[in-house]
Amino acid sequence: MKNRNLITAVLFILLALPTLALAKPAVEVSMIVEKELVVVEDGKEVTKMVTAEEIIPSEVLFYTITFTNNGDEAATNAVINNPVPEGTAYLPNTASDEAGNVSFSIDGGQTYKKPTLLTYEVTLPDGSKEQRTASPEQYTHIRWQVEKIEVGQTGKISFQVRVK
Amino acid sequence: MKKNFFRLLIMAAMVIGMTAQANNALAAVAANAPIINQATMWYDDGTGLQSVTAEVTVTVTLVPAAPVLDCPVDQTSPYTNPDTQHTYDYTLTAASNGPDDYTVDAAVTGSTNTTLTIPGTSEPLVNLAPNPIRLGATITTSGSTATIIAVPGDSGTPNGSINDIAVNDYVLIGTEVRQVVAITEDATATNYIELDVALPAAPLAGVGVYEQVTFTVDVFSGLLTAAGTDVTVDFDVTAENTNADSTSCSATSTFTSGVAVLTKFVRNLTDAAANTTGTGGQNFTIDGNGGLTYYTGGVTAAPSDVLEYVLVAQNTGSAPLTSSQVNDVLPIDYVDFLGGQYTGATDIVYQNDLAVESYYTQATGDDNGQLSGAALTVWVGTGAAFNTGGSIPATSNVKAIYQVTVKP
Repeated sequence: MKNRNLITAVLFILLALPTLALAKPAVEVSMIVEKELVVVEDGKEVTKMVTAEEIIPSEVLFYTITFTNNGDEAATNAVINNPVPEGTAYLPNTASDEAGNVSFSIDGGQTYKKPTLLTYEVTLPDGSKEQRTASPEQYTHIRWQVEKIEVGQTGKISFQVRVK
Repeated sequence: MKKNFFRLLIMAAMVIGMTAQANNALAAVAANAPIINQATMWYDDGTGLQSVTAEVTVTVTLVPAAPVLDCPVDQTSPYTNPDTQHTYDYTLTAASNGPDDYTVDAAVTGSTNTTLTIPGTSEPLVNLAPNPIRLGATITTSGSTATIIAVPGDSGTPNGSINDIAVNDYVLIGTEVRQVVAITEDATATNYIELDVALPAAPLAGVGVYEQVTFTVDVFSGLLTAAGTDVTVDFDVTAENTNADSTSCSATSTFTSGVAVLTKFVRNLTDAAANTTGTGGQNFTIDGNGGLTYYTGGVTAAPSDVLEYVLVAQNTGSAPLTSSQVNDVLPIDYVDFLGGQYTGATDIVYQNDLAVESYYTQATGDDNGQLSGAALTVWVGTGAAFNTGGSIPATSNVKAIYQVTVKP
């Protein structure tokens, strides 16, 4: 009887081990891009968001990135990087920043800072150097930091660009 | 934990640094260019850094723009026949952000002194084939050199052209025109256009690369209505894209017309009193003798009197008279030609449009004058020779002078 209990306990541990070993986060990311479309409904002009497949220069693209942790353990220290698409310019104050965790790069993603700290140096005609604050059109990358994504948690981030 | 987080950030930054492209220029974007957005998430799953990506692509559409048409200057030439033609050179340059079809047309908008009924046509002919013509266009991205121009892909299967810009096409970049010698195609990545001659500097992102073609337009005079008056034909050449954005050039073709007026003056050299009844008098200096008046009518003559005739061929028109000759048939029943009266014992005096004299004999073939039976012929004008008429400039005149004796 003693032996039987021991065997049962060992089997239970052996069965449980793989489950314990596979417990980890599995984050999936998806993205949609939309644009505004003005339509007439009931004689009134209504602005609707529609999926953007084609775009006219100077129109605005609305990007929404959705991430979901489908794993069985929380994901930690998540970072989402999004280079500003070639041919577009980032629109100021459009990157979602609910937790104050968004920053930008003007050097191709080498460094990231808050907008007010994004400066670059120019050489003036007299040879002197001057620090200037980067304009949003100069942003090359956007980065969001998410410290933890709980199991089953879904989050969204978004930003807008104008097609040049 | 904190250490791991910073390590993660550094790794992410390194990856991005390798793939990022400069994107600073404020500029237009080419039609058909794919706008690709790719987001990447890194997270720690306990075993190490994991990444997942999401990507969406949007295609830029055509923004039609009126083409650029370089307009030629007006042309003027003498009218010679109803098919007298002017050929105008035009340059048509795309201005959209992508390929578009352009139709070129020409039409007469006004005319003077012409019926414009030309065999085969009554309108200007556009020599452009095919018409409409498809002109390519694109916009530079970053990464160009002075000879290799970086442009976006056109989202299509590689087909030997980038937004319809192909090898041997001519393109306008900034203010420079170059010929394409090679292209490198990729539907979504950066494409390259190689030029025959380097530009003064590598273009920045956002500079248009516009295909350019040349064509000609033939304009015809039509049938002259009144000789001596200019024919004018006003016409417009228009180039229009598929969005009906158009550019026009107006020009005027002028076809000048010469007209000859022949006036015969006479003076009785024997009896001065016989000239007193003359009408339409005009003074001429002939072979050094000046101050004598010759008349278009009213001069009398008696047998054996010597008469001197001055034939004035005047061009009152706006174009040179060509193939000019003066013919006079002498009334030989009443007069005899009197030779040997001028310098060098010559028989005929010729004054060109600058009143410079030449002296001819009545013999055939030795100079520009001859008397054959009763027919006196003088080939006149610039470039005249025996049996070949010359050119009398507009608003100028030439003169042929000879003498006769009234038969007893």
